[in-house]
Amino acid sequence: MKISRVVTYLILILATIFFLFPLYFLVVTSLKSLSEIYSTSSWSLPTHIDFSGFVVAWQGLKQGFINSFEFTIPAVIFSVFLGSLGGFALTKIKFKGSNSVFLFLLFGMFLPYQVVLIPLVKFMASIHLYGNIWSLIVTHTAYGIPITTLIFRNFYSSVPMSLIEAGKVDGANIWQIYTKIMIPISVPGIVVAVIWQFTNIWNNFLFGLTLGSMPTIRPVTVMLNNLKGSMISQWNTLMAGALLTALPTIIVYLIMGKYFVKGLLGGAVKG
Amino acid sequence: MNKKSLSTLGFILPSIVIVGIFVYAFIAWTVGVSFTNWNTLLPDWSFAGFHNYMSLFSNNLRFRMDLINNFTFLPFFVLGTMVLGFFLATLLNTGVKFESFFRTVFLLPMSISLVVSGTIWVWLYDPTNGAIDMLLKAIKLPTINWLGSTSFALPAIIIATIWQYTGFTTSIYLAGLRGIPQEIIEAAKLDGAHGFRLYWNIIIPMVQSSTVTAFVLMVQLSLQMFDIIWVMTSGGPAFATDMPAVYMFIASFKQNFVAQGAAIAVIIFLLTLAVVVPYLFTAGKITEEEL
Repeated sequence: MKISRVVTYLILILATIFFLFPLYFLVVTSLKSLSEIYSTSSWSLPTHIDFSGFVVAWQGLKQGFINSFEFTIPAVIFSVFLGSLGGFALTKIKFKGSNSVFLFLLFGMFLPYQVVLIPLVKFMASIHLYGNIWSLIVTHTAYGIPITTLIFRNFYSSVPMSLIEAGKVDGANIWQIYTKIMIPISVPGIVVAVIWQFTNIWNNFLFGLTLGSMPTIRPVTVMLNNLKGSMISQWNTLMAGALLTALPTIIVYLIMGKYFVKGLLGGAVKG
Repeated sequence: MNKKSLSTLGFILPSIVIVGIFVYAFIAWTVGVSFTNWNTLLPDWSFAGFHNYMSLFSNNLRFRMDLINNFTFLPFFVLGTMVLGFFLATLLNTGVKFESFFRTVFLLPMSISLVVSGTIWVWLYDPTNGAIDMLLKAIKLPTINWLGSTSFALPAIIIATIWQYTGFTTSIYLAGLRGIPQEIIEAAKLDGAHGFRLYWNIIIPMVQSSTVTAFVLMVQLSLQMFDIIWVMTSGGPAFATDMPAVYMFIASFKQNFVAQGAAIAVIIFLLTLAVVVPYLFTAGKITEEEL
């Protein structure tokens, strides 16, 4: 018994090292000067903390940061709101074909985005949104609906029907029931959906690459990749840039990890 | 139409319309274009039949390599994430201390953009100063130009993606293991099932739905793998890590072979459907029973 315990912890610690070692190099390299990167081992800690990598990286990514926040926040709000409306309708207003509607929406979760990418660009051009920040807001809202609907459907299915009935008895209409009864008790569901959507949209690369051709709307992930192309082998700058890009989602994850897992499983296990 | 269904419509109609356009209409558009001659800058809607598909399968060496790479990548990635995920979930489920710390660490890569992790892994694999070759040097092993070699670039990417996604499968399996009633395991132990037999006969069958979910998700991710390849190798060297999703992007947006890009997209889509549709229907049935 004792030995198997020791082995268990040993393996878990090895796994921890495996998952953390890239992040060690991320942080350590970002704090070195370029000359130190080429004169000392990449495994060693920085002899002097040097922020020049961060200074250069921030210059290259600042606009991307602003852009990413500018489309991520509205897209999170819209997709979470639509998901909550849909999840409510699917669970608390029984209607014919609700299961079909659910499958219709859910299918979008497994969509390989390649199959919508060309028409997406043409569509945005045809409605004169190509190059506009709204192209990214609309796109991320649209492709967020399946997962947010699923999260809220799972969340609302545990809310007892009697709560709705009570509202009806009090003479509330369906919209009042939604805003006065459901929204206030939805906070945990909203947190899960917001965190999941924020992480996904912030981290997205493909839509940014195809729709974000102009620097004025280009997401930070695309700018980081461009930085990689222009700062070849300047690893302190690149690691500083990577760290800055990852920071918003890492912070959210470390503070609200519990909800992140719920979003992950809300989209995975219950199907 | 009565008042109730009208108000229902108000709640769900916006989502139906948006998904209808951005998912279903766009798929139809892509399928349509894949049957045209639009392999130019300007739209050409003339009918080409299956020409774009046939040329991909008959004389397109790049696409053939893409399929080989994709189906080499797929089993390693899917099995790697699932076996490792099941194993780690099992260990976490034995009542270890600091369980939430371990879980947080394992899942941390999932919160990071693939562009970020791709950039980090390029540095780790760097042949002059990278951490991995430094380690190989220190233990007197020959160093490898990981991303510059046609034989090591794909394994290097597989390792990076397993690093990224194993926390996901671990979480799926952990939820599955937590769902097994303790009495069943106790009863099996009383019947003499221990160790390997306990796992093989009781636990693995009991987490079958986790296995199916993890499998479908990982296969689906494999088939559309793009971001990390684009960032780490852009499909090189010599197409050794090229995949259909990368080729689709190049053909459609860099070379203006729109119809050819659409055909590749449709192939990726059909491969995805083959695993997702059966899953959705069984999952749909399960949820119907639950309601």
